[in-house]
Amino acid sequence: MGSLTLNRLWTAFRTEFRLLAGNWMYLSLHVLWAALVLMFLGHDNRSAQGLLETTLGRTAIGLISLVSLFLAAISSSRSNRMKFHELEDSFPTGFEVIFGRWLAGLLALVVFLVEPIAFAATQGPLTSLLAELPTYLGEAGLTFAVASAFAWALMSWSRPGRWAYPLLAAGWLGFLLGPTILADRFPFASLLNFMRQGVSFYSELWGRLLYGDQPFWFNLFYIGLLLLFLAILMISLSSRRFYRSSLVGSVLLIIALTLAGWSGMRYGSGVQAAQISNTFETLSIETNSFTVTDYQLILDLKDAQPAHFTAELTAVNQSSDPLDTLPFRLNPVLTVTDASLPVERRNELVIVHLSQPVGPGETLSFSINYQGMLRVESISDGVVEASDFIDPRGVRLTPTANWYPVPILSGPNMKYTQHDPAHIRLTVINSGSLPFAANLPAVGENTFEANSASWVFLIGSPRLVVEQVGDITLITSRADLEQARGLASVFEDPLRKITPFFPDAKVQGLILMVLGEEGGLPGRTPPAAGYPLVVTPRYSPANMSATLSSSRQFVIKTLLTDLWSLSDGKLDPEYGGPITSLERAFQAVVGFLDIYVREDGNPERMQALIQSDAQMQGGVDEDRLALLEIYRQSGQEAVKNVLNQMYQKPDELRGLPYEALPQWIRSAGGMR
Amino acid sequence: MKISIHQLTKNYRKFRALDSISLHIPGGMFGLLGPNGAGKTTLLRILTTLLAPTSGQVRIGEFDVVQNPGAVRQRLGYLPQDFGFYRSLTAFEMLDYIGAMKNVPASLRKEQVMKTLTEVNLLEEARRKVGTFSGGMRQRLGIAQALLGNPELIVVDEPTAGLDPEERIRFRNLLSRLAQDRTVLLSTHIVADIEASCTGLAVLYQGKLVFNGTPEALIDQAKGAVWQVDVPLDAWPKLEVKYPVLSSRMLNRHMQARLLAIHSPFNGAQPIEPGLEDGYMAVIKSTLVQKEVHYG
Repeated sequence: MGSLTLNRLWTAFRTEFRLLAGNWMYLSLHVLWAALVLMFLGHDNRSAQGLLETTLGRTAIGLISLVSLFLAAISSSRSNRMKFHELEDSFPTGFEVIFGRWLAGLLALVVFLVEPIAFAATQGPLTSLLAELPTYLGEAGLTFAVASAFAWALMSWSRPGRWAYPLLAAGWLGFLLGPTILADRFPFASLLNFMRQGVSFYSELWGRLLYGDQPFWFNLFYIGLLLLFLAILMISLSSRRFYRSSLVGSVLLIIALTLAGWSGMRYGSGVQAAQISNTFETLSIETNSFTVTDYQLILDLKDAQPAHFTAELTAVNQSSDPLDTLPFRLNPVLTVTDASLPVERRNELVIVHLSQPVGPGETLSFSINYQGMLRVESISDGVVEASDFIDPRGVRLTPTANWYPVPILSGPNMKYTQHDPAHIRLTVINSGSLPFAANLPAVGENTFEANSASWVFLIGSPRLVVEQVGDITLITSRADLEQARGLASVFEDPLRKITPFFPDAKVQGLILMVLGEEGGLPGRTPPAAGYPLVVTPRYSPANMSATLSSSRQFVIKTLLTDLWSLSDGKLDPEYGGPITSLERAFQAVVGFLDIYVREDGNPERMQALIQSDAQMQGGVDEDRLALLEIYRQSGQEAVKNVLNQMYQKPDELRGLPYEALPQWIRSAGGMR
Repeated sequence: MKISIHQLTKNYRKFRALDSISLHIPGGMFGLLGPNGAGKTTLLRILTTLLAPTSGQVRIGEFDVVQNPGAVRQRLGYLPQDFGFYRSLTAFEMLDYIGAMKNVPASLRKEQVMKTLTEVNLLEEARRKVGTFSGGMRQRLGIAQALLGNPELIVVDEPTAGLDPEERIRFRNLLSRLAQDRTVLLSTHIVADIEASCTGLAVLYQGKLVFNGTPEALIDQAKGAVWQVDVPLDAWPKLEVKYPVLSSRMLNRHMQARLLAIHSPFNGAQPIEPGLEDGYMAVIKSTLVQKEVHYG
């Protein structure tokens, strides 16, 4: 490209940008856009990166895409509208002028990203913003480039009149809604979601690791489309002005079609692979009654692809018959390399064959070594997302991945997210500088150990932060740290105040995981011995303010669920089934502890609070009142007695009529 | 710069806009005359590479307009019949932009833009937005842009339409001056524009070339065929239908007129010396008669 050509390109770019950006409509749009962005203020508490990758960022890309179509249509038809086209066509110019003008339009569009980026910057932290900027600018720019190149190609090729504008708007609406609607039935349709709406290729902890290569193929597909539209522009110009086809344009067209076709197919095969991995085979195995009482697990990341596992298990025969096989479930991609006992591998099953049957109540120890490249993917809104993976850049292992042997105890087709409580010690070795955390307390570097643990959730990420805040072990991402610290302070006071009511829970600390990644975890996230566990998305402390009744009760209820369970209390299933008096009793305790925490255990003030609530709600919560009466009469010990009876008599409570519950509580508390 | 047109035909679907035109323009200022719809603009659009011919060949200098349109454009200054500019740019900015498009080096561009603005008497309006220009000012700016890059060929299509008499004279003089060292092709249906400045001309009529020669030769086409008559008003309608009227005026219940006729239309008609317009009308009318005879 000669200097004259470059000079024309630069002049066309400069002039077009001036014409666009100097227009009062462009400036008005910026004012309107800034006002729209400000509407997000206070409604979203994500990090800068989270904002740009999800809500605000996606909205911006969607809306600016519409502006892209219109702006490009206006730009490309300007010469005709101004009757400048005949003059323009008589100049010794080529594609460089159109290209320069298109680039100017693209720059004018990218300037619209200033508002969302500035807003995201105010959310912080700065590191999060800086980490995201190249990706966001690149992807948003690519989206605008594709949309504007399409509009340029359409206007240049067919030279439509004003009806092009409603047509472009209708097309935009179609692509906004269509892929999202279709993606449920045809996940591949998510490839058409060029505005990246409704999906987030993002996690605060792992970034895009969750999505594997899919974002890459997605972007490459659109780079192909961009080149295709530019090639069409080039060919159209050459045919109109030079009466011949453009060699460069034709070559570009072939490259573009190849690139778009190839990357589209790769994206599609990614979707297909995730669909297949979602299909689980039916297990046909007779289940035995045994439990594992001790797990010694080692994850060796020396060679993360594949990762190596060592599992030493101690099993107890819980049945009345001798057992000669022990069936376990283990992810089928994990290959058993070595075992201390003969092992048979059958799809998801690992069957340990015993030469000597293990008698009723007897214990047996054995070890299994296995390895594999574990990655469990699912499709959400047409987008492939990994729930479990082991990668040198990060690790996420949930119980649904069956990454360690879990006894098959119940129905053969059930998916397990937990097993009988056991002592578990998990060590990650050769992990380099990758920090790890788990739902179990840490006892050393990358070593986690607990009694009575019924599941393990292991996470490793360069962005992971583990911090001790009083009795709370805070596990979060770097971007969420400030917010998570605020959240820890919200839990700290209630934890300290209500723990004395649960002496049998033997609470040693709270594990607070502020992740925003809860997929694959069991319901209610049962705690290991001594460590209540809270897994929650990022909430700002402002949103979790102690003055908000629903947030306060959420905190108490979350803590109480684990303290109840650690005290051997039973609860009704979380979802489904009628509300029993057991559930109402639990809710009464939540209500009682709420006012206890708020009023520092002062019975008079607690009484006043109940009366005030009764006035506001038009009636007294008799169950909570009964607990308060016990507390006023006999103090904390009496309430503990009531709680003990609740743990011990869940069936009695389930069968109790609602209206009899206050009396039951008073009686259990020894009311005179 | 010579222009050679050989057997040029242009069809718009079934309509033939140009029919086997062959023409040689040696240089200087050359006029293209013809009524509206004669095919002048189509011919100019082909010469300026905006339109591809259906058949035939056109060479501008050594360059074929189809094979090498880029080279032709590099040597071309064009003023279309109906044109506009980016309204929010000033006259200077607009010309600077066009100068860059015409490959005028950046170091010379400002000087050249100022010079052309001076030539078209717009220097004082250089910083004014084009959108605020009157029709005449816009036309002058159009000329200015055609001059940018010092083109060897200037093609102007109906350039004096919308100009006041003073501007028109000024414009003709400018074109004459420019034609001293380059080819200027002026297309118009206003004979006076050609009469004042062209050394050669061609007449197009219904897509055909019906005359090619000097203005004097065109005048000769009407020699001995232009008559001045003075008739009573009641006899005028008959005469008006029978002979092509070149001009007429009413004088004291009499009509004084100039007519085109091969023989004296009646006793008392005075033969007079024809002008270019008379020659043009003679060519057009004779073509029409020939056609009527042919189809008759």
